[in-house]
Parts: sequence; structure tokens; C-alpha cells
Amino acid sequence: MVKKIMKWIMGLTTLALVTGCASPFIAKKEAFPKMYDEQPVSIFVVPPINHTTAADASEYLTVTLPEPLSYQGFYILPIEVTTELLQQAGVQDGAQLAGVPTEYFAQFGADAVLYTTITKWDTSYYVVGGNVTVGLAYELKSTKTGETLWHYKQTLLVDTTDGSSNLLVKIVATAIKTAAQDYLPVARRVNTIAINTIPNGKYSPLYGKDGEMKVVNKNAVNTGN
Amino acid sequence: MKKAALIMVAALVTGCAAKPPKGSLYWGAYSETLYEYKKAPGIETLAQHRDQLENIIQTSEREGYRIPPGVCIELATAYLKEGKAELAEELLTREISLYPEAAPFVEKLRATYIQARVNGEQR
Repeated sequence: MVKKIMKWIMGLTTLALVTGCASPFIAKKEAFPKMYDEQPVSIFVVPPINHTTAADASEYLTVTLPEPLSYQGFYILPIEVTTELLQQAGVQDGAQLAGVPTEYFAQFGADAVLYTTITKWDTSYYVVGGNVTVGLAYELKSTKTGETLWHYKQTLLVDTTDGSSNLLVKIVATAIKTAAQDYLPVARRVNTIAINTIPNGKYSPLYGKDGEMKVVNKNAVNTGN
Repeated sequence: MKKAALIMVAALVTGCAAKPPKGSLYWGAYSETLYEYKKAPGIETLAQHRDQLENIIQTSEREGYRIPPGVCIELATAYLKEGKAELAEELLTREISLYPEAAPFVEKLRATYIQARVNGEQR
């Protein structure tokens, strides 16, 4: 009898442990139900709000956004054309759009607007390598209701060290990279990680089938703002 | 009979292999050339990006991919800057046929460019 009870307790403890350590990943539909209600197709990407001193960061992030967004199944209005359009209206940085309601973008045929905020872009170099810490917040808002349909926040440390194993080559490569500051691959990686959590759009084969996919890290969508 | 069956299987296999998976797109070096242009806007960097946009469209056609969203519009605006209005118009129409949700934006663009031309002629 005692043995049996012991077994029960053991079983319960294991269960508690398992649930306690449950994966931080939740299903897309649970995280972003409004995406499934509205099913936006076309997205207007506005210039990022840049809180850092890295002036280039905005461009790195903007030019690498359309690709993952299109793979995710969305129609993205041509960023270079929309950026020019906003520039003609005097808008260079996303912060200047603070007073503009999201509904304004409906006239361009956009169902939603993607806002991005760069909170961190810290680069560091050491003799044999380098890395960059990128802090980003994304927010996709409806042009019909102004409500947030999808959001994601992350801080990532990306190693920018050259893949070569030869130490001498490595030092040279890092030095060149410092000068060239080629962070496009970094920006692409960071964007792709975040955008993979958006419920798939009309042009994706996964459209309407991804609701149960547990790929959204709870910590990245906790609304602490 | 056996031979015919084999040929059919072969045709099916190659048929499937040639068709890219649904949802695939070809973006070439889009981010790279656009970044270069934004970093140093000029005739050379613009031409380089325009070539890349043409390459994306040609490769997509050849490989049977859907042309990525916005690419036809972006190339159309580049052509407009070069005075190639007819080619630009073709591309704008093409974008709408590929992505019907582009229609309101294309209409707005057309209105802007027509207005700009009218203003230019009045000057």
C-alpha cells in the first residue's frame, strides 16, 4: 500500500515538474487571435523608430524585411517606393509618425502597418571576432481598427565572427568587417526569427493551417508596454 | 507497354522536380543592392539595383516562381525615372494581375506621376 502511495506521489511530482518546466512556446492562434479574425494581406512597412546611435541600423533592418514577410505569405507594398512617398511628406524616421493614425494607411490599400522600434544595436569587436546585440520591437496594426494584430519583442546577441578557422585570416577578416560594417546577414536573421511567428498570410501554403503551431515564445509577446 | 509506363513515370518525376514548391520566391540580392543604393544614392547604385530587380523578374519567370510582391512596382518607378513610361505601365498592370491587393496603391502612383508630368509640362 505504502509503495503504491509512494508511486502515486512520485508520479504526481513528475507531472508537476513537467508542467512547471513546460515549453515557453505557445500556439500562434493563442498568441495572436486577432490575426485570424482579420486576416490581413497587404502590409505597409514604415521606417523604424531608432532609439540607438547606430544610424545605419534602420536601413539594415528595413531592406531585409520584405523577404521574410513575403515568405510568410503577405503582400508588402514596395518599401523603396513607400519610403520615398513618406520622405516627400517630410517623414524620415518612424518617430515622426507618432501622431498619424494607422487608419491613414488604408488609402494605399494596406490592411495593416508594420511598426518597428530599434532599442539596441551594440557592436563589439575583439581580436578574433565580434558580435552585435540587437534589441527590436515589432508591432503590426490594423488599418481598420488601429488595434495591434501581432507584436514581438526580442534582444539577440549575434556573432559576427568570420567562419574561417585560421586565426590569422580571422583577425584580418574581423578587421575588414569592422570597416565594412556589413550587418545585412545579422538584420536578416533577426527579422526572420521574429517574422516566423506571424500567422501565415494568403500567399503561404500554410495559410489557415498554422493556428496550432507552437512557435511563439511567451517572453517575446508579454505585453509589458 | 512497359516502356510507355516508364516514360510516363519519368515525365511525372521530372514534372514534379521542375515545379518549385508552393510559396517559393526568388529575391536574388535585393537587400544588398537596395542597401547600397540607400547608402549612396546615385546613378550607379540605382542602375545596379534596377539590374537586380530585372534579374529577380527574369529568374522567377524562368524557374516558374511567382514574382515577389512589390518588385514590379519598384522596377516600374525606376523605369519612370528613366523616361520609359510604356515599360513602367506594363509592369504596374502586371503587379495588379499577380497581386490584386496592389490596385489601390498602383492607382495612387499613376495619379501622382500623371500629375507630376502635367506640372512638368506647364513649367
